[in-house]
Amino acid sequence: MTPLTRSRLTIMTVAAGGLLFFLHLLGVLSEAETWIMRKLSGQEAALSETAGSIRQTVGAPFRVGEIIKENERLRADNAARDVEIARLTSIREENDELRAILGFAEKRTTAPVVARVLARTPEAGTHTILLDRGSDDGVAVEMPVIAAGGVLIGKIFKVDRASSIALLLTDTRSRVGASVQNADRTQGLVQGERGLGLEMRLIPQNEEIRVGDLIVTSGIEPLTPQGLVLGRVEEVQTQEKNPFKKALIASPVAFDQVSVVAIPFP
Amino acid sequence: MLRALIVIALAFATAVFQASFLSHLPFPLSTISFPMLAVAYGIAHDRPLLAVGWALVAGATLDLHGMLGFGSEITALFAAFFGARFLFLRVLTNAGASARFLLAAAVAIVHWFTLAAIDGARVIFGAVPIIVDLSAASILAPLRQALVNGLLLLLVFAIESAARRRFSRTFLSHASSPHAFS
Repeated sequence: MTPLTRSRLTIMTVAAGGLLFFLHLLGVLSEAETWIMRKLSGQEAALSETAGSIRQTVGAPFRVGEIIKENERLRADNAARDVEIARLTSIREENDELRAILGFAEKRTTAPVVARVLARTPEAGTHTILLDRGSDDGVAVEMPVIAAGGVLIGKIFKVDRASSIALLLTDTRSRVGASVQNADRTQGLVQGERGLGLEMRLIPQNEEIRVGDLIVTSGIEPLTPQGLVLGRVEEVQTQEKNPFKKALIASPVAFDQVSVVAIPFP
Repeated sequence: MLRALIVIALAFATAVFQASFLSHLPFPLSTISFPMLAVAYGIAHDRPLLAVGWALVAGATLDLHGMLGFGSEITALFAAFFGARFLFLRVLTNAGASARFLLAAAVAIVHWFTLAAIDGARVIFGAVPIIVDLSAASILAPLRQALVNGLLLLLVFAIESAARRRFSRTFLSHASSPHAFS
C-alpha cells in the first residue's frame, strides 16, 4: 500500500466516524444499536458474572480476618432479627385481621423488572453499571435499582431501548433522600464517597443517631419508594462550628459484585 | 480485505471484553484499555490505518456501553490518535522505552481530556457532569490509566521483540544455510 493510499484510507476512516455519528443523531442506527445490544446481552452478562466471581475468589484469602469478623457480626444480627421477625409477624397478622374487618382491598403493584448487569461503563472514575433492560421494558430515568434483599444500590441515569445505565450510590454524583430508623426519624442526604462507600450528610447536630442505626430511603424523590434499605451507620462524625454532622454508612451489598438487580415500578 | 475484517472483529471483541469483563476486576486490570493500546501501537509502528480503524470500531462499541452519548468515545480516541501522533513525530522521536511509555500515556491523557471536554460541553447545556469531577479519585483516574497502559505497551513491544528474535534466528539460520534445500 502506497503512503498516499494509506493516508486516504485513514482520512476515510475518520470520515466514517463522523458519518456514523450523524446517522446516530438522525436515528437511522437506532434499530441496529438495539439489535447489537440485545444480541450481546447474554454473553456480556456471562462475562460480567465470571469477572465478579473471579474478583470474589481472588480477593477472599486477603479478607479472611474481615470475613470472620463479619460472620460474627452476622450471627449476632441474625439472632436480633429472629426476635424482630417474630414481633413483626404478630403485627402483620393483627394488621391482616384489621384490614379484613375494614374491608380493605389489597393494593396491587406491578412486578418489578429484573435486569442483569452487563458491564461497567468505560468512562474512568465513574461508578455505573450497564443493565440489559431499557425503555422497551418500561425502565425510565430516576427509577431505583435494587439488589437482593431490597437494598437500594443506585438509580437509573440513562435509558436506551434495550439497555439502561444505573448510577451507583457510591458515585460522587449520586444523591438520595434518606431517613434514620430512630426515634426522631432523622432526615438527611446519602451520597457517594468517591466510589469507596456511602455518607449521610445534612444531619442536624441536635439529632441523636447511633452506630448500627438502619438508614432507609425517605421517599422524597418521586420515583423512589420510602423504606428501601441503604445500610447501617458505621461511624458518626461531628465537627465543631458545623451545624450538621455526617455518618458513614455500610451497605450490606458489595456494589462491585452485583450481577442481577430489580427495578420496581412506582 | 481479510486483514481488515480480522482487525474489525478483534477491535469489537476486545471492546466488549473490556466493558463486560475487565472493568469488573480490581486495579490495575480494570484500567487496561485495548483501544488506547491499539492506537499507541499503531502510531509507534507507523500504521495509522490500524490505529484509526481500531479506534472507530472499538469506540463505537464502547459508545454503546457509555454514558456520554454515541460518538464521544470515537471522538476521544481519534483525538488521542492525532494528539499522540503529533507528539510522536515532533517530540518523542527516539525509539526508546521511555518514548514509547510516554506515547501510551499521552494517548490516555488526551483521551481523558477530550472526554472531559465533551462532558463540559454537555454540562453547559444543562446535563449532569460525568467526567468533570474534582475528587482526588477522579483526577487520579487518567494518571492511573496512563501508567498501566504505558507499562502494558512496553510489555507488548518486549513480547513482540522477543518473538521476532526467536523466529528470525530459526528461519534465518535455515534460509541462509547453503544446505537448506539440498
